[in-house]
Amino acid sequence: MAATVAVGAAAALSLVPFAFLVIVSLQPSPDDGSSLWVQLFTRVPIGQYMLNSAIVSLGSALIVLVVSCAAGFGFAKLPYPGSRLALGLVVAAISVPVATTILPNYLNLSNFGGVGTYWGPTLMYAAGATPFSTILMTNFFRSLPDELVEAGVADGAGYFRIFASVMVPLSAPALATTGVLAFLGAWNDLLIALLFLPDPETRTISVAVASLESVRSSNLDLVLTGSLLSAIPPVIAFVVFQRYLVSGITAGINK
Amino acid sequence: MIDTAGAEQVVRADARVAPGRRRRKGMYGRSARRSGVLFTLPALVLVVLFAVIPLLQAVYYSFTDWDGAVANWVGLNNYVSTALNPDLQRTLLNSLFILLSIPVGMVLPFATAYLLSSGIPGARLLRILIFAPTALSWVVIGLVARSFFATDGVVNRLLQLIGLGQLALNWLALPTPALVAVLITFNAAVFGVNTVIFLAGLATVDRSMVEAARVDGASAVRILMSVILPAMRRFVEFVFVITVVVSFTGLFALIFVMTGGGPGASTTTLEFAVWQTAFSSGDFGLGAALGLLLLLLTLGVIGLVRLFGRSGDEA
Repeated sequence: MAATVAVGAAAALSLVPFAFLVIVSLQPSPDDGSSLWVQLFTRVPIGQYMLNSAIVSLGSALIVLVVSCAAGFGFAKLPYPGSRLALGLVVAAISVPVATTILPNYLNLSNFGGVGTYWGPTLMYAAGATPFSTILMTNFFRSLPDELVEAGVADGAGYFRIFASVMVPLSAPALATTGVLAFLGAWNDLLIALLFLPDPETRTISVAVASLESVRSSNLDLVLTGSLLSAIPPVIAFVVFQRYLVSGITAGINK
Repeated sequence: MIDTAGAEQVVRADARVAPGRRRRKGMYGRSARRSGVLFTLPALVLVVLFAVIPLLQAVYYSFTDWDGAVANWVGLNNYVSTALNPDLQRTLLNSLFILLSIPVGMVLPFATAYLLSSGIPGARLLRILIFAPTALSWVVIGLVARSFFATDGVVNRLLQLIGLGQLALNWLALPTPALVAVLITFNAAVFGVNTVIFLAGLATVDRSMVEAARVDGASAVRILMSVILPAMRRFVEFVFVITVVVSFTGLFALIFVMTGGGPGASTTTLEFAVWQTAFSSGDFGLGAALGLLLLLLTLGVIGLVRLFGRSGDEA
């Protein structure tokens, strides 16, 4: 009984941020008493911000899915001389924090015109998520029997064919984990978006709500309402894919 | 604020030892090897272009006075000035405080996971609710925390309500209270995900061992200390490592929104200082040096935990 109450209290406290944001967003605006939600959509290009976030996060998640699924299959089933070394490089890249490489990355991408465009940050997010995703997919493909590939080869199918028609369909659960983690990482990011999308037209929703002055008001309630809107896509992704998230996060524990 | 950086750190070790059965050499011949190269090439190109080369560049620039355009060799100057700069010393001290707060912050999620796994009604729903805030970005969490710790915010009102009005402060405007507020917010924000990881760990504990201990008349506390905790060691280590990695490498947004690193440098982390040094002060060379210190510090802490964990294995 006491246990239920204690855990119930923890669960209730976990909902406090959501409840707080919802309550604030439903108050009338301190400026003129109108609805904060109406203000958000009329005074702020909030739709454009959401679209910008969607473009870079969905774009990078898509790249990560293709790249890590292919690489996972290659590393697990088609070893070549040096492939262990190559995988080791991918594994080592995991340890490098974003902040360590962000200044050279900024320099390099600005030299190629990638700052202030969608493709620059999209590639940054994709490259950032690639090492972890590749290892997740490699471990997944290792768990599949080699006979699947051998049977395909015996049937005269090429490796691309085997990959596309046998391997990809089997890897749907691992792809869900990889894709959702990549999407959430990009959507919720601030640092990369702040540096690589500095223009108001390409600003992401995270940057918009984080830089209070961009909403051009000391109206914190409006900013909080915007932040609630920004949380809706990740919360939906979260609810739908919860199962895969837990397995992705704990993937690193060797039991 | 989901961040797989920590999970990644641990997956590393896994990948290194996980080849399972060794493959027969040349199982499918030359075309297989060529296909292997093609399949893995895009990932390798991304890693080389966005991690390997920039890392080497960062090492080089950390020995220069790079301002974003021109870089002159200055030797160890950036590292020396890091050691001598009081703001950067404060930054390192902040990392230490965050590090020290983490074991304390791990007690509650462990206790919650333990209670959740003890067969209470509605455990499934409660778990989902506890996990839910993990979907929120650090920006959103920071904005909520900023409101809560404001002078007329929820925290001060609660303190007044319970008769501790004299503790009501302008939290984010004072150095030590601001750091305390950041530490509380960080540990509260990772409560949900850490509870869920501990819960996954508790599910792997051998029930028959627990039953046997109970039949032998061991108390619940004794069972927890002598059976469950030892079986959970790997998960405790994992949670500690991922929480440390997130606190070192993933708090930029929280600090940006909540305190801007201030007052002074009282809530700045190394990660935040990289951005600040480069983009506010224009000192990219020093920023690169700070980024490398961040990498070394992170690897150092993980290495120590591993070392400590391994010695526990032998004991």
